[in-house]
Amino acid sequence: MTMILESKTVPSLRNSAEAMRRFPFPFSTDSYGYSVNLTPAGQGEAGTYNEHLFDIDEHYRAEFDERRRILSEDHGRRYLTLPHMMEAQWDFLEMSMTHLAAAYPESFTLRQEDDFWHWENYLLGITQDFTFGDPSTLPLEPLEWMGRQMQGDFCLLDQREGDLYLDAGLVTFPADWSLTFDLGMTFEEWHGPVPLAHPAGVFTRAKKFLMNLEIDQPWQRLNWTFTIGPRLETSSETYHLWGRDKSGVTAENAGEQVHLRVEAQVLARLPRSHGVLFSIRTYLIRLDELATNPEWAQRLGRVLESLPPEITDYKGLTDTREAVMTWLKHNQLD
Amino acid sequence: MTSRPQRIVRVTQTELVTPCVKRFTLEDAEGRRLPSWSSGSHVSMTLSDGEHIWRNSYSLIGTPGETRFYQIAVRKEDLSRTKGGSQFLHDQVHSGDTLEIGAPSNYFPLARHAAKHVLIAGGIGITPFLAHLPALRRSGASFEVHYAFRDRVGGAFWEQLCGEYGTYARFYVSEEGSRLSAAAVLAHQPLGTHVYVCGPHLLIAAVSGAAAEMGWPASHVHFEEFAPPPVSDSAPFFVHLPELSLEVKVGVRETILEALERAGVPIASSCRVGQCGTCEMQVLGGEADHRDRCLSEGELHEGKIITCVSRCRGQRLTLALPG
Repeated sequence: MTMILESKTVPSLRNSAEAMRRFPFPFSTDSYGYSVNLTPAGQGEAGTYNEHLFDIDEHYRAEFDERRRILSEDHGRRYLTLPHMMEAQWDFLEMSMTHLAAAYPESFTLRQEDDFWHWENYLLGITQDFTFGDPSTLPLEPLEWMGRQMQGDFCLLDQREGDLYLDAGLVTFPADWSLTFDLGMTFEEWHGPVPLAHPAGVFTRAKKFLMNLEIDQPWQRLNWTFTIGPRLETSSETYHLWGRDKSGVTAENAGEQVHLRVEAQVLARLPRSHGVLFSIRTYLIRLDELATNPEWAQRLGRVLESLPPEITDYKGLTDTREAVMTWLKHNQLD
Repeated sequence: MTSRPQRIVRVTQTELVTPCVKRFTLEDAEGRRLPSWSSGSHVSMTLSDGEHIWRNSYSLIGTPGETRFYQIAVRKEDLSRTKGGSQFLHDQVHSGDTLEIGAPSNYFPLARHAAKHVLIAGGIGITPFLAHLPALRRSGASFEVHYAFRDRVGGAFWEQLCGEYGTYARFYVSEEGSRLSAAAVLAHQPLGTHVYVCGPHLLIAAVSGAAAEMGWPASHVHFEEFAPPPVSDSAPFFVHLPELSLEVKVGVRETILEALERAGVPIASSCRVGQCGTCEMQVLGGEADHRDRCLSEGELHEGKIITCVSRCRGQRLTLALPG
């Protein structure tokens, strides 16, 4: 019998002043249109979300607990990998461990002697000796075991026959999509629902770019939508549980209800398998938290005003856009 | 794309494999691990004797994933356009010298789903297969390799392959009258077989032609040229860059990319044999002579050009700098 998954809010995801300061605000101009908008990943200024390839912040424990809850209830639809992706899984483990240990030496340690590796995660109290390349020496498969120790979702793409296939993933925090539905799809197939961008050639260019990704040259981009409540789990499967909240948003309660949800997506070449890592690190900021920065509030208002109706609809903002715009007008702090 | 970051490696060993082919072992100059890589990868190398600069690409050979060192095998060319680089490597680069390389790139990977892999090499085109073969053996995949070369003295690595892959390897020595027939190799292969060809232009044409005739899907035929297509019919022309108010002459023996680099206009590039598309530019005027293997019909129609191989039909080509 399939377990019925609950979509829950995570109240502990409230942001400190520091988390608000380093929030990846996605708009650099007053209008929004689709573009590939890629910048080098893990090379941002110190103290920003893009300082490191894999960002660890104050919500580490809350996200770990929420992911554990989701996987305990719905593992079969949240962790999926096809058999030919095992080499890519080891690529992912190597990339994440080496970067985390170098970026956060106080939290993670990696020692490598040929294929004998020793990993320590002080945040979760994990110590593990294992043989690189031998899955039987880990408690879980490399993608799930390491993905659980990180923030964000992780997709591994296989590159073959002139296309990219979504063939493995650990996806517990999707913004209205489903790993089960998309598994095995080609790049254009899983981007099928995105409006306007296909005729503009955005995906053709993006795919070509991804297929030419270079080793040690990862890229990142930001994507955004709104989420009602501090909720990471917004999968297509649970839409009936979280989608209805949108209709309760008013110009009065938008400040406490609506969160700007920003995904910092990283795209990196997996060197051993010639696959591609697509990671999605989700950040939430409450509208009234965001409005403490008047520049952000003003810019978000202008972006919403100029948003084409197709994009408003695709991002699921039709029910909330007006209320957010009104709230922002009434709560200009400058 | 930004220009590729370079890494300094030290030559730790050189070894003459045949009178014309030299194997170089390279390690990170600072003793660090090199990036991991997959079979079929190449590294681009920036070579300079102080007077000339050459940028050549060489397949990584040996066990994929080896990060303590890289190995390449270089054939010393007599007449080819890239002779400068390979001659320089052969004659002037010794153990202890340092070289500049980019990160590995792969435009010739294995198709992991293939029911069987058939590898066909001509001459020095054997090099990418020297990494594919251990990868295939390790993965337990079904495979065979066919290797054609002129004579036993000049055929690089054939004895080693004979020892390691005996029953999976066939050799064709043209001086002894043994010829590789693409049709014979492709006949009776199981459904779902992928074929990989690396070698001279004629061999690639023969195998792709035979595969097409026998109804193989194009997606199951993979090839890598170890040198750009022949440019014997080339004539010099001029490239005009209005953004820089610059005009550069492209000589018979150089590419647009090389001419621009010589003129101090660096263009991001990777494979340098017309396969990856990194060095793409936009044609604003003049008629391009396309020789690449990566642009789609639509992109050709939009006026894209791959500057590492394509040329000009006429006197002058006006190009926009990459965005």
